[in-house]
Amino acid sequence: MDRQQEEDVLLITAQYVAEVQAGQQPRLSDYLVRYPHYAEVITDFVTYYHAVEADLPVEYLSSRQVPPFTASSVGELPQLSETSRAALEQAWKHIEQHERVPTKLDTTLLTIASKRGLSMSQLADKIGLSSDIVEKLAGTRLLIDPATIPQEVLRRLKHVLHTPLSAIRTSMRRANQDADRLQIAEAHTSYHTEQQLASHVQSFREAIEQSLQLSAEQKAAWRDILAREGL
Amino acid sequence: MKLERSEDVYDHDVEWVKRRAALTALYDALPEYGCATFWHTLEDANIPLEVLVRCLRAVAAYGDNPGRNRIIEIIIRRTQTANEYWANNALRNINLQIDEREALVSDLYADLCERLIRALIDSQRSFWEENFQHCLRFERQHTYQAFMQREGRWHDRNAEISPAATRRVPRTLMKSLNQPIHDAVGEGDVWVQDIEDKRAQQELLAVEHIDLLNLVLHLPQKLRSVVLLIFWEGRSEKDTARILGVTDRTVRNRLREVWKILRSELALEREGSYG
Repeated sequence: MDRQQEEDVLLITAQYVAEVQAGQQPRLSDYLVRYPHYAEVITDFVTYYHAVEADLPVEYLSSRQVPPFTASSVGELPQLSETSRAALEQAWKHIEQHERVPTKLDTTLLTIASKRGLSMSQLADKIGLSSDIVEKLAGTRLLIDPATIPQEVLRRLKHVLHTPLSAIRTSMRRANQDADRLQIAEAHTSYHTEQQLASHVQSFREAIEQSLQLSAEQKAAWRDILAREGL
Repeated sequence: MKLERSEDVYDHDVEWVKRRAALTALYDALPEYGCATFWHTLEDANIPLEVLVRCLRAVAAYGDNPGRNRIIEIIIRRTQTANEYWANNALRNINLQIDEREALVSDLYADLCERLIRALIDSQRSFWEENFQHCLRFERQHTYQAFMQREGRWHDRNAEISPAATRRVPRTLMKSLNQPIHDAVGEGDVWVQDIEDKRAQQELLAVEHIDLLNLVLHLPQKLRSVVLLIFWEGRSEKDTARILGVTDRTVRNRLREVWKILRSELALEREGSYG
């Protein structure tokens, strides 16, 4: 099934589900007569839908509706469950294993950590940060303004990675240059966020405040460090 | 054959058009990228998932991997209740030890996450930006089928019988079919008699729909529509033949294959029970 056919089948089966959800009891035979060329995939989906999907909890309303959304109607985002975290990590690991491309990664702090037998989350734990911040700090592109990074972070990296401070600074400088190049060289997309993305390098404080993974206590501790270092 | 979507399915549906417009309006009204308000808005559980997908693709196209991963995590958090329930529910009919079941459920959910990430990043798959929940349903279906085939718990598309199947045949169905099986001696001709046994057919019709669907789900693809039309929708063999564009004889042959598979699985079930 090519991409166009897949989209067609999605449209047809979405219509079926919408009818079920509206209490209309659509008949499989009607769909098979109307779309004989997709008979097998429609049958597959309908069987699967009623056997497995029909009684699943739904995150919001029916397929056709867009829920009312205003800036004032804030809904609480659930925490990532342990089960979901494990599944997500396993998925990323598998994706990385199958799509590893040799690049300038060898110069990044994450690679240095990996050579020391540390995963990103382990490195994050050891320096008192979270994975989402470590990725911004130690990935191929430095997405945190180096001038706003506390010395305490560098000290902890030096200690955990057994690497001289100069090497850590060099790695960050190189990643920072890559981030600059990204802003100039990347092709624009059709989305309106393209200009907004150019300013995606943030301060360390912003990264701390916006982190989804840091606990309130960790955030408070980093605020103290930032204040102590006058940042 | 190309689907005439403009007339058949989509554009005539005013609600869908309204929905698309509403989603675009929400996306266009997002705060400036990267600022605290932007992330605060994306972390609001009320914002449609379709809008999150558009943001994710914009961010991924720009190479902002932390931003991309952050949106993926938000989407996983938004869908985790249903996905975790799904992973447990999808494997509920398989005979397994508790620890083996837990491991399989974890693997199934991880497979789903992987497929989900790949689909979300793929900007060619535009329907995700219009009907997230349905695309997710579809992704779960394919994850489930691929998983069951990989684990050897699914009929290969081209295979006639899967003797390795370990799925539990519904008890009600076993009861329905027990009598013909004890009477039969296992010869092919006897099966023709069984298929035409109106009482057995009536009993199969009385099987709980959910059990019937679970059974059909594990049949080879070409046999599914016949069983569904006859035993789920209550169509006659003749009607079924007309709907599927095949001969009455083909319908009967396919039914015969279904009975053959059922008999095989019932035998395995009995071995499991008494052996």
